[in-house]
Amino acid sequence: MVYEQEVALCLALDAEWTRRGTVDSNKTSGLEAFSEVFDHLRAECDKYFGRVKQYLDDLEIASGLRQSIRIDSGPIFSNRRALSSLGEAIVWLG
Amino acid sequence: VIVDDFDPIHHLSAQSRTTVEQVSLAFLPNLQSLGIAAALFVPLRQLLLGESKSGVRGEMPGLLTFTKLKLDGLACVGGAARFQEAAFKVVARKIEAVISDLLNYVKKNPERYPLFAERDISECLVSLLDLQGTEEIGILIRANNYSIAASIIAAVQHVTYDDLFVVDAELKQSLIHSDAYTESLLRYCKLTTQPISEDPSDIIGDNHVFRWSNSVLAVAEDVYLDEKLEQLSGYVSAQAELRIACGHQVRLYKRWEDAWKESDSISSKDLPKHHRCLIGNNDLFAAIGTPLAADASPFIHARDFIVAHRKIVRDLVGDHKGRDVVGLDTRISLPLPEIQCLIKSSGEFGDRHCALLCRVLGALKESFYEASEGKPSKRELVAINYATLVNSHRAYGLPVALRRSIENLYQIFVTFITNPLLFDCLLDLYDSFLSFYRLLTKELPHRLKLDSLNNRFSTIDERGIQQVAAYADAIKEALEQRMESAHAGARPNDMGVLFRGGLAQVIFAGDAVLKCGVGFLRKVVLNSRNDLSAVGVISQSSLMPGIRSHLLRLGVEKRVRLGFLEVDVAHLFTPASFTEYFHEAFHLVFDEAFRNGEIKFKGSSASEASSVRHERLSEIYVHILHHVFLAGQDSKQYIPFQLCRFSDSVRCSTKDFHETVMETTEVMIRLFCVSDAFSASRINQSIEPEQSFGEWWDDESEVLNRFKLFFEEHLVYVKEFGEAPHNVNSPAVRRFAFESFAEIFRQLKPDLPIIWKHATAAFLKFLRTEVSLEESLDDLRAKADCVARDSLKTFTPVVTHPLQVKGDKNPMFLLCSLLRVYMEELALDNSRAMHLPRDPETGSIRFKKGHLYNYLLLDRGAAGRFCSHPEIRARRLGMQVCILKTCWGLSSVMRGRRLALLERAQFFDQN
Repeated sequence: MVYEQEVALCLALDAEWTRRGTVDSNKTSGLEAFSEVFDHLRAECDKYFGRVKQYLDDLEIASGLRQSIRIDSGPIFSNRRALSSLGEAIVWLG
Repeated sequence: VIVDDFDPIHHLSAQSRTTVEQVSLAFLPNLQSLGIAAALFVPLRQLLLGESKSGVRGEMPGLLTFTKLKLDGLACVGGAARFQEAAFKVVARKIEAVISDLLNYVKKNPERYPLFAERDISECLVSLLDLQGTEEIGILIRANNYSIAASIIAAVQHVTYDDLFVVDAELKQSLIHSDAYTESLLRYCKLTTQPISEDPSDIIGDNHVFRWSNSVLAVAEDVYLDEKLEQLSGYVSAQAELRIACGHQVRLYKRWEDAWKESDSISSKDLPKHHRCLIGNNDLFAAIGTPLAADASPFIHARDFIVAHRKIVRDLVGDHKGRDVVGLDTRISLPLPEIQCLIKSSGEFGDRHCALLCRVLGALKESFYEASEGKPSKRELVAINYATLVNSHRAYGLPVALRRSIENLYQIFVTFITNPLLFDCLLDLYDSFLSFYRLLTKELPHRLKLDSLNNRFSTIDERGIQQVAAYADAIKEALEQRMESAHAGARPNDMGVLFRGGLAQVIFAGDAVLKCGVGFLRKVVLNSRNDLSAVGVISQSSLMPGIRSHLLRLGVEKRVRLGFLEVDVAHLFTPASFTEYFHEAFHLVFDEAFRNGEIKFKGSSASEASSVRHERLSEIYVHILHHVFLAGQDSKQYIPFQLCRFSDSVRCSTKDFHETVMETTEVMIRLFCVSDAFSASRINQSIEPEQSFGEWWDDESEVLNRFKLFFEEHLVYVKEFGEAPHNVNSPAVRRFAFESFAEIFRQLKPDLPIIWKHATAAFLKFLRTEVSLEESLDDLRAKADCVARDSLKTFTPVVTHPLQVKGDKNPMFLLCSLLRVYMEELALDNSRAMHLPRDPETGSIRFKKGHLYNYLLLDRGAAGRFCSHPEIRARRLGMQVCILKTCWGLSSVMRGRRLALLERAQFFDQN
């Protein structure tokens, strides 16, 4: 069995939407709290890839080294216990 | 998240601002290599992003199902790598069969349409994942109808051993040759007086290959938040369980009633005949007192379900600023159509459905607890007796709190290792528990009794207690890591500090390397391969960066040797650091040889030898063994590799520049002694290593000249230490190094030939007994390298070991070849900078324009190297996956041997 040169990571996260009201009274909707979590996750992934891209920009070693690196946000799936017993959001970003 | 390095795993999970429920890591098998060609199977990238290799995105189904499957115990011990590969192939076949059945189902009976549309089936996409958590196989399904996923899961849950034997005919042979299987079978037949059949099909052909499954449903973000519901079809039955803040209940009951009063969108239809399939950890949900077929709640259209669910979240949670509802859980059932392949699986199981391990492990558990204290038994060599443990360690004054903790630890261990659903997770800890048991019940009481005869204290002293507690702590930690997510039931949030969950298989892989090293000690130095209680060494994940060993010194080490390695988690993913496991195991070899007098230093007796000199000789000894295993005679490869390991370890990060210089010089001198010995003497399998090195090391000025050349040649690996003017690459440092060398070498010279002789003899003994009696060393190495190169080039783990065809041989030689080839890939270019340039103030990375850098840069304190080149990073990851999977397969083989030994000993005793 041959393996691909990439690995996948699945994060199941608790959006903590039921606790938002006590923590942040500006969030009046569960949906709003939830979509905030999605945005946060996407930003986290972008930050990592962005950092790698910054290194590449710095690293002007030789022409041809700097190759485009994928910085791409794929789907986040809402799960939130409602749709089974695990987590509230499942992240499968690309 | 799909990534091409292990590093971001921590980054992504640790920086989440919300609670991390679970982390799953997966390797991605290449579908083509599994012979899977059907269009519904796609690489993960395509399934997630809807992107083909050409980068074109298409419309993607909005519902996702993620199923994790745990392989059966018999498949996990002995030959897990083969079983897993065959399981992937069978799973793919089953899924194809389900899809074909579903199409027939719809085409033949249009009235069944409410459950499925033909379009739902053609849009379905599936990816297969090699999970690294407790479960080994993952299936990700994207469809617009959850019932397709339910059908796939149900069919896969029914995969049997016979299905596996069809796709891989050699699996039967591998079972017949597996000690774990044959011993379990023998034992089972003895217990049940069943006749023995040689064909595994006759015994376990109808056994199911998976122990449990765990499924999760999810909805794509845009489908859920933006209500893009048109594409969805199929039915769902859901029951919400809301936790409501105290005092808010009545208000919420009212709101709930108001909310649903207005709703007219929910549609309940009469569906064609179906089963009710519960999603999650459990499989059946029925109101107590009602027949199973009775619907607990009606099925509603998936679109209506999403609308209703949004409504709960929006209205009930939002209206009172989230203060009413404090938790929401939903039980979901899906209609499971009566398709052909599932109807076939609903019959009775025959004689070929045999709970082999259930009976055998059950009997083993009885033997752990039965009172056999004081009774001489062969079983005592391999089994733990609870009563003996409880009664013996009271006698020598072990504090009560520690005693009770140890008793609890053994109670947990014994109950889990005899549980047919969990035993394989703990088999690799058996030696450690057994050796510790021997220490506590036999060796310590014996030693303390001798002490009392000599008018010394007969109770254990504080230092001894500390060591016993430290070891108990290490095995407790190891046990907890293995058990963390081993239960099929509900899982709490992932609160791991050292690492997030989902690494169970990686832990097994790392442990296999350590066990190979310990196997070398057992076989070559102790000559006691099957005495499992002679050595107990485990690795313990730790916050402390790097790898370091702790050996217990309780005065009983001639009979039982206990120790543990502290390993930081980053090292678990870095195969280059696996070599350090060998390094630490070789220290055990040296200690043993020194203790039993095989190594006797000249000029001074053991007690007079200064600790520094002793440590130097021990390190050089270990390096000689490490060198010959890992790089053969080739110092050009070994020395740079070791200097790089030194260079990116925390050892060189001293605050004081002088300390850094002394540390660096020390390492250079030790490595020179090793390299210089290999320059003078060639190990050949046919010649005993009688080299005295007399002339080679007699002329001290010549040796110094050689050291100077060595120093200059290798300074490049450490010259970036420190900032100008305090830099290792300065005349003052050279002067210091050369003067130190002259003095140290003079002290070491008389004993270097002694350790050379012992180390090389140990290596040759290993080769003769474990690998081959006939072939020359060079031929053997060339063969092993060829296998390793091929494996790492194609990212294909080594499943069968061509050099060690007999099942119970130590695979260390081949493993070293894999690591050697991996090392070659990591080799650095001398003409380019080797260290990641960091700002000393902030630690941030500062590349200097116009400088040339290696692609893989050393980064002090990091387990792996920094790589900013996408292709090289991806290639490195491919090799890492390949080595980890190879080691995982080895771990399965080793655990299989443990199970067999355990059963065999009990069997003997009963006869």
